[in-house]
Amino acid sequence: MTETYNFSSGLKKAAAIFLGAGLLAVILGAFLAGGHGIDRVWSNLLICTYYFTGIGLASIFLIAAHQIGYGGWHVLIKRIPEAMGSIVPVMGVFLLIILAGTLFHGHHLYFWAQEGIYDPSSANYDAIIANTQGKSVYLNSVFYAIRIIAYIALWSAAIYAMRNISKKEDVLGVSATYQKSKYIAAIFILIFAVTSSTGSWDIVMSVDPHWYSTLFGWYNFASYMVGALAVMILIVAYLQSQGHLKQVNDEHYHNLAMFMFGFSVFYTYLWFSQFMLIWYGNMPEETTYFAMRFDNGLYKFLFYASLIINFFFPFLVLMKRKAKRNTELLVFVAIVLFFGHWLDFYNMITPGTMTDHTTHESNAGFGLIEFGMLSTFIGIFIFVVFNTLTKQSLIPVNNPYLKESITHHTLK
Amino acid sequence: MDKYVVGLYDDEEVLLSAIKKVKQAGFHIHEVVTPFPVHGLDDALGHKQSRLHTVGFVGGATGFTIAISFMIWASVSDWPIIYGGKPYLSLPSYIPITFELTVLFSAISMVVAFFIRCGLSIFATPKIYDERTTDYLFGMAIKVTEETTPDDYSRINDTFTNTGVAEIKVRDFDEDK
Repeated sequence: MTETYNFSSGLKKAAAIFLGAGLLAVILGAFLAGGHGIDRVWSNLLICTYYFTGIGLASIFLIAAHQIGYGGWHVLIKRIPEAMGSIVPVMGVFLLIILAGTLFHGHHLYFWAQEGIYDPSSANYDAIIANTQGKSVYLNSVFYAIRIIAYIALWSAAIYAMRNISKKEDVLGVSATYQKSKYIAAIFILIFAVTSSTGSWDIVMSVDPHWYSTLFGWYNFASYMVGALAVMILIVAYLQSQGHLKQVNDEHYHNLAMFMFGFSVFYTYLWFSQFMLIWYGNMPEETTYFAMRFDNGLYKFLFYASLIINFFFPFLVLMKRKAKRNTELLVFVAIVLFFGHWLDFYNMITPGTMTDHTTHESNAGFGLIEFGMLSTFIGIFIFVVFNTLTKQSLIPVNNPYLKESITHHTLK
Repeated sequence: MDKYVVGLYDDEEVLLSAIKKVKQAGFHIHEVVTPFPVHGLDDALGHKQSRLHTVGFVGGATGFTIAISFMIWASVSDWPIIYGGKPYLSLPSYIPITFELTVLFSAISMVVAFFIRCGLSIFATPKIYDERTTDYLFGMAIKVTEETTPDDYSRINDTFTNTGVAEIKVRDFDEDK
């Protein structure tokens, strides 16, 4: 039953091309973009780092939720989200680079991180953050650095524990690991419940320090959860095309597609909840967020495009049962949604990071740097995740739910 | 004449293999009743995909249309009032109610369609082949008519016996009247 995976040289080459071409495009783009090229590189680094961190965390969350909820259908493909979790420590390195840039003023991503922002005598003094909203307790460099490092440490440790206990199960048998794996999954969910929210405030929401939204964390979670499910479908389909995971059939794709459909609707629900309250309330300190996105042609286009790509498209296409069981169609939808949620994160972060705070003009662009950075991260992702997949059996042979997963089927 | 020969089984695996054998013997299975959902039963009986979700979609689309057209008519042409400084036609504020009515119509139409289709509507008398099929037995009913000869009865009985049946009974619903 044990099935080993070998990282084929063809895929390694493909990953290297993604990585190399991406880097080249970023460098070329930065030169061509001129003055604000470096800012755009930093901004895109933040977008991709956050998106891929989220994808790793969300896939581990899916496993953990099934583990404590006595879920069984996912066991055949369990090793794929587990391997996807291994991207988080790598993304932690990029988070640390961004953190170093924040602390030593290497970039302008975080407006609140400027010197003297809380000092009334300074030219950088911002009365709204410092006085009206009183954010100095939370948004200061020291506490911020502690939090970011704590997230990376907690996430990496919890994901390591989750993967380690699953690996041990193959060797020691289920009686030695079953109870413990449930505890670890519960602890992961506990950590993730808090840090997914606070992490989204720190990493994404604080690029717009004047604005806040209390459901921002869940909105972010729903967004990268869809991304994670899309990537999962792509990896399962790829492995099957290489002759692996022969027992995975339409029933498992159906479940993954149902999750993708469901989380797309959930994402829209949160997106709309945030939008409608702000639109209805019509308070200047809240509407500023959407005003920024409506004053600029690019952002406005992406705002509507992301609604169409991330809601109407999956909602109408994935509604039918037959569509959820059609692997080719699913792969297409997964690719579109993966890009759709990347665009969504682009629109969350770029208006905050690329707007000049004195002239209120946007220096954002969309071209070589954006696609290059995404391509680079896809290359890194393939290297890390498929390398992790080689380290254990593709099928968790000792899992008590394995038979349930093999015979799994959804009612007609 | 509403009469059935009912084979009662006490194990779902035996039932599933029995369905195959009974079909091979050339009998038409009128209905199978089980105390809980049995995986693989739909495929064994050759049931096509349920059309219940189509009812749900049509119901949902009806609810959506009713909600959105009523709100547009009411707030734009029948009784225009400015509220919250918004224009008369402000779609975002209609979405929550549209969503609710879509879900409500979809759910209710599916429940009603399900009950009617299963013969559980208000005035229907449910056909209970054997009361134990609601507890621990699985029943397979084959319909018999006036044309069924005693020879056919014994063939049905033989087929049931060969498939490991626990009990065979004849149920005549005309007797209830």
